[in-house]
Amino acid sequence: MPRDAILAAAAVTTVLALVVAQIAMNARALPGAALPELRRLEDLTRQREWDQASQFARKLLLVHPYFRPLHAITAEIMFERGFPEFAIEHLAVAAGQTDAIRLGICLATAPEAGDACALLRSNGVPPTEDAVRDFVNRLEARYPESMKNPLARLRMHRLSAQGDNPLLTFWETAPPLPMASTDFVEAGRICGSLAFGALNPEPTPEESAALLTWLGAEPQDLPSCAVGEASATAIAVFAHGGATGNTYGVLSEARRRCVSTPRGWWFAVVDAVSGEVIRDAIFCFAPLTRAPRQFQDWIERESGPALLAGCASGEAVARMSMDARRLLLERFGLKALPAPDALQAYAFVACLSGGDRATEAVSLGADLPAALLLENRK
Amino acid sequence: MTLAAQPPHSRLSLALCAFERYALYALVFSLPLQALTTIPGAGWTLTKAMGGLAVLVHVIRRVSERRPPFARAHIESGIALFAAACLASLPHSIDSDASWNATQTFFQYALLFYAIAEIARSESVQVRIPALFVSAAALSGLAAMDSFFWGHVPAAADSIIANSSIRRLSVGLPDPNHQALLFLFATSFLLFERRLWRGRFRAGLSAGAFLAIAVGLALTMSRAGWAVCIALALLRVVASRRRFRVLGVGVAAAAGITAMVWAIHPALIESVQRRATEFRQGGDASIASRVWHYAGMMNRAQEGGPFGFGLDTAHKAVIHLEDPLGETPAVTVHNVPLLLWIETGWTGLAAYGWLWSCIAASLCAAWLRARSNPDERARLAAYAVLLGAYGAISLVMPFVYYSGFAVLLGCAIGAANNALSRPASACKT
Repeated sequence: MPRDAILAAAAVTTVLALVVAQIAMNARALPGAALPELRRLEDLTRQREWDQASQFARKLLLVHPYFRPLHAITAEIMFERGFPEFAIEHLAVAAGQTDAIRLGICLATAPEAGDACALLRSNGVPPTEDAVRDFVNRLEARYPESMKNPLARLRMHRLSAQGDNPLLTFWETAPPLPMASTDFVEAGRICGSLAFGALNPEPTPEESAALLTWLGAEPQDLPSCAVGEASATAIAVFAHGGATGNTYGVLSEARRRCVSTPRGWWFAVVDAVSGEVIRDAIFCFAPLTRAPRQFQDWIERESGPALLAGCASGEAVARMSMDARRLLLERFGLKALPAPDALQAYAFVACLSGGDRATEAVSLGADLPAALLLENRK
Repeated sequence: MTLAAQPPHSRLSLALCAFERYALYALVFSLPLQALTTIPGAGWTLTKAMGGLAVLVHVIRRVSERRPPFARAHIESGIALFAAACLASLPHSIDSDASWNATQTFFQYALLFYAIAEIARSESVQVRIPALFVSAAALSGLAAMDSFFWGHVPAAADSIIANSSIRRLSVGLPDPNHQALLFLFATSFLLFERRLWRGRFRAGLSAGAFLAIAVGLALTMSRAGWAVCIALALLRVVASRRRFRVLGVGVAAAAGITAMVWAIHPALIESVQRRATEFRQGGDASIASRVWHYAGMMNRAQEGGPFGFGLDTAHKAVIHLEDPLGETPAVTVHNVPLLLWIETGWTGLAAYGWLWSCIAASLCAAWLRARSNPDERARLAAYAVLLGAYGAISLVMPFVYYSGFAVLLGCAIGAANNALSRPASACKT
C-alpha cells in the first residue's frame, strides 16, 4: 500500500486542482479579461445594433458585474433603448458612486448582494466628470418626464456632483435611503414607465391590454383550475429585469402589487376572483442552499384554489441552481423556462391546487419585460 | 477480542484500503473549501463525491474480506436510540415526504460516519487529519481575504447583513455562519493539537494558518463564532500549566493580528467592532428575535408530544409564529436541541442527549487510556473541544443536516477507538 504521506499529498493535489480550476474560470471575470469583449461591445454600439448590444452587455455583466467601463457603455445602450432609469443606474455605477447601495442600486448580476463599493474601486477607469455631466444633460433633455421620479432625481444630482462639488456634501449628510428604497408604488411607477408606458396607478384592463399588445403578447385564459363559474378579473403579470435590478408585479383592474428587488425570483399567491395578492416572497435559488426546500414549504401553506405567479429576470434564471430549476419544471410542468444563458425575463401563472397547465411568457428581448394577461372567458 | 482493525489481506484489499484513506484525506481537506471544489459539469462537490466513494469502497473491501460491511464504533446505543426516535417520528409527520427524505439523509450520514470511523482508526491516518483540516481552513481564510480585498477568488457568499451595512463574506461555504463553525473546528485543532506546533517550521506554518483563520473568521461576521473562539482561547489558557506565558502569547498574537489587519484595511476592524456591539444599539434585532421565539417554539415542541412533528418539519411547524421584531432569521429554529425536540419529540431529544453522552464517554475513556501518550491525549482533547464547539454553536444556530459533521465525528470516534484498541500497557511512553 502506498505510504500515507503520498496518499495525503494526492488528496491535497486533487482538491487544489479543483480549486485552481474554479479560480481560473473566475479569472474570466477579472477586469483585464473583459477588454477584448468590451471592444466588441463598442463596435456594436458604433454600428447602432442596440438589440444585439443590449443582449451582449447583459451577458458580459453576468461575468463582470463590477467592471465600470462596461457599465458606462451599458448606460449609453439603455439611453438609446429608451430606458432612462436603467441608464442612470448604470452611469451611477460606472462613475464610481461609492454609495451605490444607499442609492438603492444593487447589481442583479453580482453573485450576491455584496458591497459593490469596495470592488468598484479597483474595477476599471470611471468616465470623466465632463462625460458624466454631458450624459446627465442629455438624459434630462430627452427624458424630462422620467426625471420627475424623486429617486432618479437624487441619482442625477449625485452624478452631477462628481468630485468636490458642494452638492456632494449635501447629499452625504442627507438621511440614507434604505437598500430597497423604492417603495412599491414608486417601483411600480418606474416599471410602468419602462414596461407599459404611461400607466395609471390603477390601470384599467384596456390599458393593460393595450400595453401588452405593444409587447406583442396575446391575452390568455386563466389556468383551468381557476374558480369555476366565478367571474375572475383580468390579471396581468410582468417580470422586468436588468443588470441593476428587477421589477416584478401583478396587476388587476383595481389592485396592484409590484416589488423591486436586486435579485432572485418573485412569487405571489393570487386570489383568482379578486386578483389580490394574498402573499408573496422572494427566493434566490442560489446553488448549495436549501432555497428549493423553503420554496416548497412556502407554496404548500396555500390550499385553496389560488393562483401562483412566478416572475424572474434573465439574471435570476441564469443564477438559479439545477435543483431549483428541476423543481419548478416538475412541480408546475413549465415548458418555456428560458435557458440559463438566454437572459430573457420570464413569468408564469399556475394553479396551486393542481391545475393541468401553467401559462407562461418569455420576454422578446434582454431588456424587455415578460408579461401575461389572463382573462376568464367563461 | 481486540478492537484493532484487522490488517487487509489481498492486493485488492490493500488497493481499496489505500483508496479509502485517499478519499478520507480528500474529504477532510475539502470540507472548508467545498464551494470551490465543485466538479465541473457534474454539479457535485468533491466532498459529496468522495463521501459516497469512501462508503462504497469501504463496504466492498470489508465484504471482500468476509467481514461485516461496517465495524462497531462503540457508540451504537446512542445511534440506535436516535435512529429509533427518528423513525418513530415518521408516522405522525406533518410533511411525510420531507421527513422521509431527512431520514434517508441521516441514514447516509450514518453510513459515512461508520466508514470514516473505521478508516480513521489508525495512527498514521490520525496524525494527518488535524494538519490537513487546519491547512484547508487556512486556505479558505486566505481565499476569503483575497475575495474581500482584491476579488480574484469567487465568494460563495458576499452580502450585506440585513438591517445593517456590514459586509460579510465566505468562500468555502454559502453560509458565513457555517463557515465560521469550520474555522472554529480548525481553531480547536490549532489550540490543542501539540504536534502542529512542534519544531520551528511547523510552528511558523501554524502561526500563519492561525492568522489566516482569524481573518477568515472575522470576515464571516459571525458573533457566535467569535464568542466561541474567545471561549476556546480562554479554555486553552486555563488548561495550560504555564498559564501566564500562554496568556501573554495569546494577547500578543491577538494584538499582532489586529494591528496587521488595521494596517491593511482599517474598515474591517471597524466593521468587526460595529458588528460586535450593534445588538446593544438597537440596530440589529436578530438575537432578541431568536430569544423571543424560543418560548413560542418550546410551546410548539410540547404540542408535538413524545414523537414530534417529523424530521425536517421544524420550519413548517413554527412558521405560523409571528415575529414582532420583524426579523426573518427567527423563522428558522436557531437551536439544534430545540429543533430536534420539535421534529422528534421529547423521545428524540432524550436520544440526542444519550448520543452525546455516548460520544463523551467514548472520548473520555480513550483519554484515560492514552494517559502515557501525551500526543494522543492532546489529539483527543482537540476532538473533544471541537465537538464542544459544535455543541455551543448548535445552541444558537440550526446546523443539523450537514455531512461534514458526520465526517468529523467519524474522525473523532476513530481517534478514540484507536486509543482504546491498544492495551494500556502497550501505549507509547
